[in-house]
Amino acid sequence: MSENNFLELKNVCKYFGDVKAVDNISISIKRGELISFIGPSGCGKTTLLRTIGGFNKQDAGEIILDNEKIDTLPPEKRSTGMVFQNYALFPHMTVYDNVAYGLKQLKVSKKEQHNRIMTALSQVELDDYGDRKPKELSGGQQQRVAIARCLVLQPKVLLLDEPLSNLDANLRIALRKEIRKIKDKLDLTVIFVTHDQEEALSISDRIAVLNGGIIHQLDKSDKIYNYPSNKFVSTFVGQANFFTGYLQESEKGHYFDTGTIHFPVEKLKREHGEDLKIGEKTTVLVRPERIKINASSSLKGTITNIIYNGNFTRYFVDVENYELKVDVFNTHDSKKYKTDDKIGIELPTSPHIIRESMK
Amino acid sequence: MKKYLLPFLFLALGLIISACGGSGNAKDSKGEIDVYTHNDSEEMQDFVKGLKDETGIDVNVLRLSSGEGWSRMKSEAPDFGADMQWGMLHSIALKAEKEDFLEPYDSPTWEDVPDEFKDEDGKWYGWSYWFNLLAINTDILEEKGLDKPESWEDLLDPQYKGEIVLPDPGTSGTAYLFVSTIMQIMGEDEGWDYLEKLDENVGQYVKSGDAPAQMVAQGEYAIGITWDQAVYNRIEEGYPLEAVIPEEGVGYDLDVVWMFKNTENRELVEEVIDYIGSEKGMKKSAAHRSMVTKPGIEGTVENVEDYLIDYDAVWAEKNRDRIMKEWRDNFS
Amino acid sequence: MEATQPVKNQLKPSSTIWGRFWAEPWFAIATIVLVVAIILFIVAPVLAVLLKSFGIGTGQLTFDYYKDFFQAPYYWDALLNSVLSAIISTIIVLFLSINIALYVTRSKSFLSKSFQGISLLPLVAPPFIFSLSLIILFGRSGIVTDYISHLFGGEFSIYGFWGVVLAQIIGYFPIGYMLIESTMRNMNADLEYASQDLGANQWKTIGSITLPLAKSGIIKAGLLVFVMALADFSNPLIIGGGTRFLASEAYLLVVGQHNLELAAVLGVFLIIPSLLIFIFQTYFLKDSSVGTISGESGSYSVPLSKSVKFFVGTISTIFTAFILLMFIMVVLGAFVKIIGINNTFTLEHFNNETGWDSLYTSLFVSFVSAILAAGIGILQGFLFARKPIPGKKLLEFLTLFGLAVPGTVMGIGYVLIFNGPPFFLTGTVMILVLNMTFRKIGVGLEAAISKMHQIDISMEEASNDLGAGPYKTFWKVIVPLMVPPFAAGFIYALMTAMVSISSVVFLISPNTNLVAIYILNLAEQAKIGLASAMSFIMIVIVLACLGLLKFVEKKTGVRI
Repeated sequence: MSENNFLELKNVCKYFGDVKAVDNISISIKRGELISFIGPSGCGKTTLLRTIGGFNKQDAGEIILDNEKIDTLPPEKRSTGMVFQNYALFPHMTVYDNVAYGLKQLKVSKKEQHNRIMTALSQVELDDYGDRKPKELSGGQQQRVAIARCLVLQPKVLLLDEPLSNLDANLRIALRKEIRKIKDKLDLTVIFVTHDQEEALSISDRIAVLNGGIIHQLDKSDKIYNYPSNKFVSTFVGQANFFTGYLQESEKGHYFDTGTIHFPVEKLKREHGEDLKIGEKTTVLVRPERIKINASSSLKGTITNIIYNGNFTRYFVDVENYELKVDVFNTHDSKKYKTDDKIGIELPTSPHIIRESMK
Repeated sequence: MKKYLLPFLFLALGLIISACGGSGNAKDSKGEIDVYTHNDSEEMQDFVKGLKDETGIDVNVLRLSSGEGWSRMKSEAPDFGADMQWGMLHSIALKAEKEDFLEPYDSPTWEDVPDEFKDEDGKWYGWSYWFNLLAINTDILEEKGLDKPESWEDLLDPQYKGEIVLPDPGTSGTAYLFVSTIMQIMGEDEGWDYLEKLDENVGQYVKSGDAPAQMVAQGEYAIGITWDQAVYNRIEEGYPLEAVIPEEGVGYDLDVVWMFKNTENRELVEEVIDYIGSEKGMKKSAAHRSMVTKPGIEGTVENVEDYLIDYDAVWAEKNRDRIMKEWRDNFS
Repeated sequence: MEATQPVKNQLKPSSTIWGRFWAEPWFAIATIVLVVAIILFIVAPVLAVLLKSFGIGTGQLTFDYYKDFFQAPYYWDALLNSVLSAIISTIIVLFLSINIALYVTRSKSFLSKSFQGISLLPLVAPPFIFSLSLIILFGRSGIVTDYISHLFGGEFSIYGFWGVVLAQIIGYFPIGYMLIESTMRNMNADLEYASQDLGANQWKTIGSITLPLAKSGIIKAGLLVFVMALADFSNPLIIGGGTRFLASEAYLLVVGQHNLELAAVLGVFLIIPSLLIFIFQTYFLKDSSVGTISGESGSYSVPLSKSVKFFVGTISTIFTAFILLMFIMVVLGAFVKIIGINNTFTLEHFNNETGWDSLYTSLFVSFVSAILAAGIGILQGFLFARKPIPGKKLLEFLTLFGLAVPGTVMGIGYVLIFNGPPFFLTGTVMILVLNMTFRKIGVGLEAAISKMHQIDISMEEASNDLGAGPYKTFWKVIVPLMVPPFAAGFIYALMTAMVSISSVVFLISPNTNLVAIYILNLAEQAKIGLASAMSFIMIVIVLACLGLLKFVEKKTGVRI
């Protein structure tokens, strides 16, 4: 039981004045799982993380870690380890002393301390940096010291608060991999807070998308991307085209009709599996990369804007006053279009139905 | 608009401040003079008010202990920071006269004041005289079971250890009067012996000659060596004080006024000196002082003459620097 | 195409610093005027004291006065007492400041706001006023003393060394507190969270993270308090009970004996520690930025745990209550006949024409000096931050040193230089204004320097690029940006000028008496009622000025 409910939040609430920063959130996290909290600024993700770490006292609810109720304990009594956004390395101590800091609070022999510190430093590949002061390290190195400082205490849960946001793009990708590697090697349970959807998609076992203090969706990465449960999730993670209209039927089969555009679809299923009825109104999501440019398609549009992105090109296409985003992978033989070109658009036959509302 | 608000308010504040100052002097002032005094701040306020009512002259007062005042005059000469001195030791007037700091003026209102109280050239005028006095806090005596001292000699009794407060002759004319009185009564060598023994009992030396009276009145100490009016005023105000004139007698000193050389307000100063010597001025002074020099005007206390020693102000003036230096070397 | 664009408004760079200095003649002239003023009004007086202590100016070079100093045991006592009381006061002020700053920065309650307000209150009163309150309460027949001696018997007197220490602690506490509070407020809260997360409780966190990180702020506060306590001359006069202190002895030597030479020797002994400390602070306390990497994580400061809150809260409560008590005594003293003896209500202490006159003079002088000090300081800050000025470092050092020079020394220096030809400034309002202005000019300079560091030079370059010359850029870009530091410098200078005495006490005249000195004079005569009344008015006026400026700040949105 405790494997699946290793860390359990039950109806946790946190208010700042009238603002519900965390509004009645419940989650269960498995042992060894890496879960990401993502959402825009002020969505409550950091507040939730800090509540787990004990830096905020929740206003209601319970937090249970490894069968122990921890929500009334001060941070130093919780076996959680936090890596702060700005790393919070103690600037007046060397790397070694930073890592030793937590051990010194425990009654651990000097020798064991040393062994554990050296192990932790080698886990983050900083064996030779013990004598340096934090300000003599690069951002990525500081980040790894911050992780080592937590690892050395063998926390039950590692809490990472936007740990990569202060680094440049390439380093971010490299460290992302490294965090995943360390996590897998040590079989850590990790909560990873970020506002970067790509980061979350690439690193997580599961993702919780937060906004307005509530979790909109908690799911595996591909589910979040392909089957977002509502409009907020679909726009926050990835790019989206929406069509609101009715499912219709003709002799050729089902088609979706927005009033100005119609395109053929297969059977559309609602969230809980039941079929969408003919004539029923709904909103469907189509990711830009699922749209194809096909001269033979009956749906025609005009290119209004082009953004070149290296590996793909995004075309903004006006189709009957809909502005569609269309992503085309750049291969050596992809055709280049220009603004004002008239093109044919082919929409996928299995768009995903989403809920309109945020809740 | 908002960005002008801040400078505007600064400006307004500045204007208000200047306006306040302007209006302060606006009411039918005849002129303004600067005055040094060693008088008590409270009595001086009354004197200044009396002068203003009578003559319309405004006075800026800077109170300096006698020692301070003298040191200031010396450093400022010949460009004195004040037009006149209203209240100072006789001995310092003599010194200042020697240094040629004083401007003679023959005032008509002072004619009936006996010659012994004024300079023959009109360089200084003595308007009152004052004497040393012990201030005794009767409550404390009773509380601590102390005897009431009757004489200078009594003050050496070990029972008063730490209970006596006296001013520092370095700054206070009252203190110098006391020190020179002791010298004149006992002779110099014995006088120093006395002061050294007294030092054992002294709880504190203070800067101003008024302060001992106030401190004893407030019960900080049992006995203060001070001057007459400082004690009488506090008794009148209702403090549990008793004034004791030591048996051996006390020294007295003239309190004098003078005009500084090089004053730019000669006429105003003359008018002020005339006022001080006038019937009205003397009556005002008499309200605050035990004795004034104008015949026929009684001060607050009668028949004190019997207790006064034959104090030699000239001796005091001559030996002031030497005695003070010695005092500092022994007691500082 | 970029290469051929003509460079506008950029004068041909000259090869020498003097050449570049004269490239903008108006700024060059302003700089020269400033430099002359700094030399005349800050450097020269201090040098004059130094020279005087060797008898130069009155006669031959001589060491006699130093001999006098070393031979007289009481000057040694004075030196020892001054240093010892300054050390003790500093340590206690630091301890209290740390406690109260911890409480105030880590709690948002009404109590914490009250602590903050009360802690700063002593700034608006002349420092010696607490000596008066202490005497009322703890004098030989003080209110508390009587009570204690009735309970326990025995005698107890506040006069003397410990009275001075106590008065200094209260008087100089706000200075230490302000610095420590701002250090603690700007600290990155995540560091403390991290420490707790790593298993340290709050006591340990404070000991091994908070205090080490605040170290430079604490040291700076300590040095400042030490310098001020060392230079304190008014408390020893009132509550010293004859115990000698260096600054008050120097004062008495000047006013009582006109012994400027020996006073100058004492001044030299006052100035040496101040100078050393100032140099130490300027050159060895540089890396103050450590730990205050203000993270943009926006974390709230760490709330205090129960035991810490109890400890820190108790100390804060006791001390702020004590400060408040001091002020209440002043107010009571002002409105009753004779506090402790005749407690009938009266307004008679307010009927004091000399007092009101001196109050007006004080306001006028302080106002003008504060504007000048803030204005000149800011101009200097701008010129020094942006313009090539030969010997800039030295001049900046000298200006800021003006803040550290003990007032007594500066005052004696002014007497030596301006009391006679060719200046004849004694007794004028001008000399008071000059003295206060140049004593406080460092405040404006410091505010300006820190602001100039925040202003990106590219803003001025942009203005130049858009066609504005250097002078127009100054008026249109720099001046508006400098309003907040100006206002901050102005307020601080105004407050400190209103209550300052140690320097101007040598420079007043009957026509230019200042209220703080007048109150000191009343206190010396033990006239507690009058002194309290004038102090009360003064405190109310300074507070009203502050309130007005706060109001302006709110209305204009200019953060002061």
